Amino acid sequence: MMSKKAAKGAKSPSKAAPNVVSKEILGGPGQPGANDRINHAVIGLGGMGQGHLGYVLKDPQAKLVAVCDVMQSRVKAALEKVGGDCRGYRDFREMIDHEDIDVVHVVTPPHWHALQNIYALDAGCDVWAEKPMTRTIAEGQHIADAVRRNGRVFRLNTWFRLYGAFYGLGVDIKPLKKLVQNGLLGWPLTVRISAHTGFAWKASMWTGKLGLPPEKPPADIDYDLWLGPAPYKPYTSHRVSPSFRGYWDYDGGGLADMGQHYLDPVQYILDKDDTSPTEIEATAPWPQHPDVVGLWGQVEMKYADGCKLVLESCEWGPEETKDKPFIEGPLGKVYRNFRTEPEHLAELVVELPDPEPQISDFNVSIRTRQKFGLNELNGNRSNILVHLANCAIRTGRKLHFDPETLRFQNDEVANRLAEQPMRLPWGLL
Amino acid sequence: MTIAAKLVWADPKDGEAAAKQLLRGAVSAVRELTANLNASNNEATVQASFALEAMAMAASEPGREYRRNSLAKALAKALEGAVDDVARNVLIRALQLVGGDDEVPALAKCLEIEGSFDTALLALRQIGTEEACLAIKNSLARAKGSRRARLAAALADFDDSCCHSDIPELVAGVLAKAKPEDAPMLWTALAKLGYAGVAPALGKALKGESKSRAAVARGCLSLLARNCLTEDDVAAAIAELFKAERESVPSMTALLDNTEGDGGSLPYLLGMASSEDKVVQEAAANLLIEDFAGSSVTETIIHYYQVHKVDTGKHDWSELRQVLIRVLGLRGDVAARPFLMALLHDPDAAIRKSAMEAIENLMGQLDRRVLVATTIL
Repeated sequence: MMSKKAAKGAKSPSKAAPNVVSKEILGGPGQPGANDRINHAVIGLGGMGQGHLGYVLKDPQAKLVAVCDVMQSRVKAALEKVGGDCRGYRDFREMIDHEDIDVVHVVTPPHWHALQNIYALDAGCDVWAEKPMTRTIAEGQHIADAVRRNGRVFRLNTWFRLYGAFYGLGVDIKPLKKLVQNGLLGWPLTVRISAHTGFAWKASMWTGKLGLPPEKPPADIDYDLWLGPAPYKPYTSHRVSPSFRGYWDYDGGGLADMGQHYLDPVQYILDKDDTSPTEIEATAPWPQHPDVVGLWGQVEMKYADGCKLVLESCEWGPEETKDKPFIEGPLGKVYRNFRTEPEHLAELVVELPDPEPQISDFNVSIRTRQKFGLNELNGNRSNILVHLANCAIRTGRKLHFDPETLRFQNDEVANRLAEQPMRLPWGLL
Repeated sequence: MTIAAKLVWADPKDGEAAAKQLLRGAVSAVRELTANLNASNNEATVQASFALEAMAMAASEPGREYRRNSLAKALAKALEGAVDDVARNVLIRALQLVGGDDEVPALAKCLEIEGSFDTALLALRQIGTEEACLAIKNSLARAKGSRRARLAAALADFDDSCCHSDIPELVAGVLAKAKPEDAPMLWTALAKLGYAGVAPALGKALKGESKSRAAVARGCLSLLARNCLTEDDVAAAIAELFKAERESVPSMTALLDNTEGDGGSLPYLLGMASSEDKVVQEAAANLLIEDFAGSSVTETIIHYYQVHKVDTGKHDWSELRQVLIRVLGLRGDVAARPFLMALLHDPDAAIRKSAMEAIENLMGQLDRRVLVATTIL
């Protein structure tokens, strides 16, 4: 579905803009000043939505002005929890109509992410978005376009490239980045993201259920609005939150749920923020079900320069990663808890220069208009990793991907998975 | 169905072998599987769904076009005989993956059935060929209400090579009689099609009371400006943005995206850099850095700086000057260096600090060390 835009050779969105603004806290029309509180609204009040309510309520610079969910019981519960003059909505469009919002949190299931992110951006709001950034590969570029045309700031809600212990690895990202960027592990590198290196993929937790009979939707939920752009399927309670993760129409299982948490920092370590793998191959039960997400064993994704990501669920098939390092190159290896080969690598880290600083406080991005460390551009690249893996699982064959066009080579069905139309009246700009 | 039962979360080798076996007798296999699809979503339905997915994925393997064709024909044939919406929609979704021109007639018939309309429309849009486009147009001629609006909106998914020249007018005609709730979907379609005639309606929505509809209109006008093929049409789209929001990032970005390399828009952009709206100001600064190369632009920025270096009391020109200094530092044009060096003697400490940072950005750390060593700083 090539657009006229492509045919006309329209300008592609710019890369991350350089920081031009002063470090002083800005204020003025259209932008909260140093002493202004920032008005937040949250769409989606399930498990992650509760987390976002917490982010806003804990932030002295933030004010929660509105919450929204297609389940009225959730809206009611959220309003009781937050108190004050926060208002509740069923339809996010009504919320945009009636509220004065600076930041919209999009915490709905992934089939809504692209649409609601773009609505908020075109309404002149900054966006704090849940992962995975989108449900398909093609949707990410639409978000990047909307950020650019509106001059907004966008953050994705995972943070391990910025700070924090990197799950079960036992170390944060900074020393790993220092070793890699100074060439102490050599090149190319292989990174194993596995239960054995500290990463639980939740593959079993987020599979769907087969053979559920249709149910009548409860009065509490606007099911048509919950489905939104997704194809109509008869309601079952397991289809909606939080188990929506187990159905292809809305998400992509544990891999999509955890993938950006685990893969985005790896992408950063390998300096792959502006590219994608070219070869992807999965080992998983095959065929997959067309509606219900199943288990998987291993996915290998290889970049053009030979760097490789090995994802291993350890929940299906052979487990090959036992006693293997998290990251290895021709010159060295790093295991869990920062055990290195050769051993002195761990000591050398202290002497190495720090990586380039990244903005890790979204309030700073909002007030200074500088890009957040994990934004719509690098975030889309790690989002693509998740979907590449799932496309390989679903097709059951080795896929070849073009990191520039974001299309699979010579594989029509894989491309139909990568770019899917939305159920009208919903559609992306 | 014995084979289908083996395909539930199968080992991939077993799955592949079973899929090949099913594809050898695709017509009868699809017929038999279809008979097992039902609304209760029972075990037989589950097994049939796995089997159809296996066939679709195996048949679509690159280089096996004949397999895909024969499976798609079998699915289309079964679709014509499907007894209910459940069976029909499962088959349509399989055709969404593997269908082509030959399957369009069978899918088009499903557009006339209430329970399969949306699914069939998704499949035809995904197939994306001229045949699929024509099928939607034909259905549109008979449709009414929101279904008519959806069919019209779907026509925007078809690229230029199969886009009939009458489609934009056709969609515009549907928009003229559409319910208000269907309008955003049709605006989006017309923006994708590059139909400048929709610009006034978008401009009106942009100035309307509904902020969510204004959001769609704003995005559509930006998209329209990118997709229109004549300069007059591009201008019409951008003009509507400006009429509603003269000083805004979408207006500025739309203008600059469509006047690439045109120095005529530079004064406007510099005006935006002096905006009191910080979002606009910083977006303008970013565009000056990224989109305007060359020393003549540097000269224009310096001239603009000099014109505005006196504080009029009406505006915070000191802040504008600091923005311009940073822009000069980040544009990477060394022609700005003498000017920036001179600013190191400015009476305003904030200007001196900005100039030092700009020189660092322009020339690197070495310049800073030299400047410190020579006690200029």
